[in-house]
Amino acid sequence: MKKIKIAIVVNSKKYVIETYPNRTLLNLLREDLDLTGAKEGCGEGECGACAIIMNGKAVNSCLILIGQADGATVETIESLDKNGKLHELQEAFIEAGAVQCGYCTPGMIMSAKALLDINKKPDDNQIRTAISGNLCRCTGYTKIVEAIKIASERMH
Amino acid sequence: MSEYRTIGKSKKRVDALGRVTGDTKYVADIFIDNMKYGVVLRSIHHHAKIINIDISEAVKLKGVIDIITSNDIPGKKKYGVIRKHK
Repeated sequence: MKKIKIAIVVNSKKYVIETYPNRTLLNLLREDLDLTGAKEGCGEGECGACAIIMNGKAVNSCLILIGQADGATVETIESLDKNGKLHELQEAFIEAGAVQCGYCTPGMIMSAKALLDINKKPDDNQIRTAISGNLCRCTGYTKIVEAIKIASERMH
Repeated sequence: MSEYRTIGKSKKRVDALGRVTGDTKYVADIFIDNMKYGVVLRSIHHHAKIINIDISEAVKLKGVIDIITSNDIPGKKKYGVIRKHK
């Protein structure tokens, strides 16, 4: 297989990477850039554990072939806390008890961030729609929705 | 009445921080040089009785290091509640 060359901005850092075109953006983040916050749950776009923000939108990075990410700007969970200070969403998730095993948490927070970036005061329905692609098997969704609400109130 | 330190109060999970920052390392997040990968192969038939597993062709495949079946486990292998299906 022939390698392809792509340029990508991940968490404000520019990369030019030569790699095989059958790899996914999730593979690149986790294996090449050592950003293991995004998880592979199902690997087929069902669970949202791999959700990241690409060009302002929450996407399942396991469904993005690396060629599709050429020229993209990507944000992952690792970009949220700044100098030891947590993002409002991260704070709220801890406070509201929205974290248990934590496997869905990075994806859940990135989906929530993509929502709050475009909608400062979402209602319950909008929050539920925004995280409808993220499965959580431990906490139930009530505390997660609550956490996103707390964060939206603190941010704006 | 004196206040309790924990009872009746919400406590932050001690392990929540790494989980909201993505720092927590799950097993799948650990990469080691020259790491090997394993997969589980399950029967494609429900309630089937495994009489024999022939791995002879599979072990010949390129990159296969080993195939482990119940034959590789010594001693008693039936643990837990095993109910007979009617």
